[in-house]
Amino acid sequence: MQESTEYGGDLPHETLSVCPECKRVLKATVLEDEGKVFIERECPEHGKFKEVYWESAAYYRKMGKYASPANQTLNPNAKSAGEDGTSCPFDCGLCSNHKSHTGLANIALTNRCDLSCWYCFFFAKEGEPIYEPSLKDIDKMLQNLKAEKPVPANAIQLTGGEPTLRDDIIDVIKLCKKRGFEQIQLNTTGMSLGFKKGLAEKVKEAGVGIIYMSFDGVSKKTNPKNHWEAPFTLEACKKAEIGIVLVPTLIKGINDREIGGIINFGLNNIDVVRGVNFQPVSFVGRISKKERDAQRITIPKALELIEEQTQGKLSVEDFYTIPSIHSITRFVEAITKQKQYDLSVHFACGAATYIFLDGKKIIPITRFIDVEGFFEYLDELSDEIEKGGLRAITAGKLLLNVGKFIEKEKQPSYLDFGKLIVDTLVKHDFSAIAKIHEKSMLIGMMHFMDPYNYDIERVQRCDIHYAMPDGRIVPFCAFNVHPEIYRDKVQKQYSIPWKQWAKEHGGKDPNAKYKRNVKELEGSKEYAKCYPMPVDFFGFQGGKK
Amino acid sequence: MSPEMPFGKLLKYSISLKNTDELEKRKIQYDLLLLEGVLRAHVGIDGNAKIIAGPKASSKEILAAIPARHSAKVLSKESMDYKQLLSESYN
Repeated sequence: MQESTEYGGDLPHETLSVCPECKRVLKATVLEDEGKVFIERECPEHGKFKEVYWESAAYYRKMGKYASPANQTLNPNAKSAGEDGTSCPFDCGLCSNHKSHTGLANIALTNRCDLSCWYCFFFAKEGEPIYEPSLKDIDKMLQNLKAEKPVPANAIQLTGGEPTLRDDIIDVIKLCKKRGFEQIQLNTTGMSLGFKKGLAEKVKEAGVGIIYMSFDGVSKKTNPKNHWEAPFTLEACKKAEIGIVLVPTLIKGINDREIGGIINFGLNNIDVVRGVNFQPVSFVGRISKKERDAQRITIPKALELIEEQTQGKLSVEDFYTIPSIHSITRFVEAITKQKQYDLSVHFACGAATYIFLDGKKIIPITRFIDVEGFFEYLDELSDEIEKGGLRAITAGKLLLNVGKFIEKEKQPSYLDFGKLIVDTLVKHDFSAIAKIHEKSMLIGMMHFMDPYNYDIERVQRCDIHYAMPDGRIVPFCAFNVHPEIYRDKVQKQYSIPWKQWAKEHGGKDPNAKYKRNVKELEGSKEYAKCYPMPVDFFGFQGGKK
Repeated sequence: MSPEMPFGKLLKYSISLKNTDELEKRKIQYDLLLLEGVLRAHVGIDGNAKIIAGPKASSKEILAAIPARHSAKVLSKESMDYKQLLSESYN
């Protein structure tokens, strides 16, 4: 039974967008042109805007099949919405019209950063006010996220600026743990963890399992942010048993030749790297059409480049859109009779796959599991239960038939995937999944929007939300695409003057910057372990054939 | 540390509007939210705007942000605590 999704639809279809100049909400069309997908609208004041939405209409149609139904929060906290009409995206809070519960919550802990990357827009420059919510406010935000019904937020990412610059970062992490967050992540450059002795262990002990670390390339040129320091972070996290997700921002013409190289880097460090989460560039601020065309890359093109640069060891066909896993959620809900954590985001927002390393062989999950067949079978079983079938009998059917979807001879030698599926979905035993982490990586992609490709249907589906100290919970692409009414505005309200911050911190410089000693770093054993990469899984180094 | 209560007393305005359609309402709402002193703004299906503003926003400034063709008129203005806004915004 196909559940109603009430969004997307075949091409062309109508949606709402904004004018990139004045933010007027406009009727828009998502359409196909020369095999690509575009979003087009016309502002009465600023004229027509037509922007690439996805580089492949065929892939858009394929992934569109996996659009999933809404899984929303039933106690939205933007009270004016719903009962009095909702003005998306200017009523965020969450509002009653939002379609996804919080999948990953973000809390910005500071706007201080010890780097000043030219492309970053979010750090306090000399003399600017400092935003650093108190522990009391952070606790309120955490409780707010946990109060979402029926599915409370369970994963949190502490972000910034650079969150590890806060003296009380360990207290913040402990607070997240105390409030019941099972997955606590740090979004960090990784430098503090790499260089401050014992910090990684303390962070781990307090509750962090994963760090999201910016990593834009495998060369000095493409990764000026932390090319030299990343090896130290890897060592420290390995020792402390913290997993790392590498987060490259993909920009056409800048680092798109190193996509394969970045995956290769991850595989070389698979004992600590748990995934690579590519983020195709989203443009903040005004940028010309010519520049956008030169640098814009979207999910289908990035996947094509993965296929090309990994010599087909990973292919476009190995990736599925994020909401495709709804079949699993639906089955678990049917079995448990409880609303479950779901990823009901728009299918155009992200894609992912799992790869396993077996010796030197890379095996994507799709090469030994019939993913589509398995999802269809799970939907059939869910239908059965929803029509009154006995849960125990249906679970038994899964047990009997799961093997039909797995080619055992192709699965990694250390895995019994059929058993793992049954343990996870029926017995809810996740210990086996934990065991395979050290030999597997999630290769994902998340494309955040900008004012040029803005689709309000996408923002309504967003499940990465920021908690703000004023009580509102705001979707990522509202918070960051309209900072003038959300992020910057509220953070300004809750900021203190630069001098006051310095006074409260014993004269410390809020703008203290990291100083790099290239010679020393390049001469270290940590650096030598990473560069050049010891194993070349794809027949070339650093993306250059 | 950041202040936990950046505001004390706020003002809650109800403003009548004319000649608005669905998308225009959103533009008015956005333009109001751009004002530094406006903390919340919502234009409802009844065509009226509800605005919660801090001490930095005056009714003159609020009305000036709305195009003249909407004949904006302040219907009511009452005082509220920031604490109340927080308790309404938090779950």
